[in-house]
Amino acid sequence: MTYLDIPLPRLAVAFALVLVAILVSMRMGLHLTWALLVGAVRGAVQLLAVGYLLVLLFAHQQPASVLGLLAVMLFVAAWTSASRVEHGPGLRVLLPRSLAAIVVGSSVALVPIFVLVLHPSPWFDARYLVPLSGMIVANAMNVVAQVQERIFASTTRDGTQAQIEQLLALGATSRQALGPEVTAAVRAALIPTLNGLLTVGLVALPGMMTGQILSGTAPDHAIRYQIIILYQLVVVAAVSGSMAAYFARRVLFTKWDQLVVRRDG
Amino acid sequence: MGPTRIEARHLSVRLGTRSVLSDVGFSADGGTLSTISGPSGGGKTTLLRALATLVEPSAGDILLDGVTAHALAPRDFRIRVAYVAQLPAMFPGTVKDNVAMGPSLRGVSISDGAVAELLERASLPGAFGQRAAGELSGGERQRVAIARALANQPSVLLLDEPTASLDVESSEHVIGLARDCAAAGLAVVVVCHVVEHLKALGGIPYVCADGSLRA
Repeated sequence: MTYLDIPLPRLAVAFALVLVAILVSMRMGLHLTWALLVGAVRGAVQLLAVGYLLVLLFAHQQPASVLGLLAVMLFVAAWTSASRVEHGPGLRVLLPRSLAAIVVGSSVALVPIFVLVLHPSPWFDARYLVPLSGMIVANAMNVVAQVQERIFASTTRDGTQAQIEQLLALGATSRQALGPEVTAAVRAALIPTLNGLLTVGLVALPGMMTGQILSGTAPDHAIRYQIIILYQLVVVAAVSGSMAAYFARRVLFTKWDQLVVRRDG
Repeated sequence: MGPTRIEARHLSVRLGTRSVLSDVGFSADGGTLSTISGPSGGGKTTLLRALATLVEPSAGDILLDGVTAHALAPRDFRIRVAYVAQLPAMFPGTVKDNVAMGPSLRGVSISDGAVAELLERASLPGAFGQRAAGELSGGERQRVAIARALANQPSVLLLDEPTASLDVESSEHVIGLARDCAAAGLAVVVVCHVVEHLKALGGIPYVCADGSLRA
C-alpha cells in the first residue's frame, strides 16, 4: 500500500486555511492576527525540525541520543506544566515536583508496555520509544498542570481555607483535610482522557492511528497500537495526576499538618 | 492524671515579614476560663491559632501537660485541644453530620443520642441535628461549632470571638456554654473584645496588644 505524497507547494495551499482564520480574526477585531501568524509558522518550523531530527535519530540511533531526546521531552513538559500554574508557589518549587510526577506516571505507562507487550529490538528503538513517549508525556504534562492549578487555586479561596483549617482543628490529617480538593482536581483532570476513551472512533480518530493507516499499516495493526496508547493515556493521567496532588499537598502543609498558604494576620 | 494544662513558652510568630507575637508566655489550667482581649491586629487570634497548633511558631513552644506539641502527632494534640474559629465553617450535610465530623475522621461513629446530648449542651434542641448545616443563623452556627468541637471530648477549648456577630440572646447562650465547659473541667480560653461579654465570661483576664500578652 502507498500513501499520497504532499509536495511543499501543495503544503503551502494548506496555509491558506490559516489565512482564513486570520481574516476572521481581523473581521471580528480579535487582535489575534500576529499570534495566529507566528503560531502557524512556529508550529510548522518546530514540526519540520523535529521531523529531520527523527530521520537522523532513526538512522543513527544510539541509546544515549534516544534517551537524551526523552530527557529533553520530559524537561520541556515539566517546565511547561509548572509554568502554567498561576496560583502555585513558583517555578522553582513546582518544576522538580512536576518533573517527578510526569516521570513516574510516564514510566508506569511506558515500561510495562515496552517490556511485556512490544519488546522492540533494540529496546531503545526510537521508532517506538519516541512517538509513544511523546503522547504519554504530553498527557501527563496537561494532567499535572490541571491538578496543581486547581488545588492551589482552591486553597487561596477563604471558604476553602476555613474548611481545611476547621477539619485540621477537628483532628483531620492534611490528607483528609485536602481530600475534597484533591478528589475534585484529579477527577476534573481525568475527564478529557475519559472522554477520549469513550468517544474514540465515534467522534475522533486518533492521529497516530490515522497516520499509520495513511502510511500503509494494516488497519487492524494500527488499531492495536491505538488501543495500547488509549490505555497508556488512562494510566498516565491517573498516576501523574495523583502524584501531582500528593506533591501539592506536601507543598501546602508543614510537617505538623499546618496549612501554609494563609496570608491574613 | 491531674487537670490539663496548656502553655505557650517564649512564643513568637511571624507571618511573612511581620512579627505578630513576640516572646509570649501563657498558661491555662483545666477547670479555668481565661479571656484574651485587646485591639484588632494585636495578635489575639494568632495566639489562639498558635495554641491550637494551626500556625507554626518562629520561636518558642506550645505544651500540653508539660509535653511539647511537636512530641505528639498533630491529630492527637488537636483532638485534646479544640479550636473554634470566629466564623466557623460548616461542612456540607446536616447538623448531625457536622457534630459527628471529628470522631468520624478517625473512624469512630457517635450515636444520634450522643449528638442530641451535645446539641442540648449547646442549648439547641436534640432534633436540631436534622437541619441542613448551610441554613443556620450566626448564633446557631456558633453553637453547633462548639458542639462539634466537644464531640472529640477535648481537655482544652479555644474560642475565637464566639460572640462577635451574635445577638444578645445567642451571646448569652455561648457565654453560658463556655462557663459550663470550664465548670466541667476543661481549660477554656476565649478571645473576645466586647466589654459586656468579657464581664459576663469572668475568669482570668489577659490583654494582647502589639504582639505581647499581659495579665
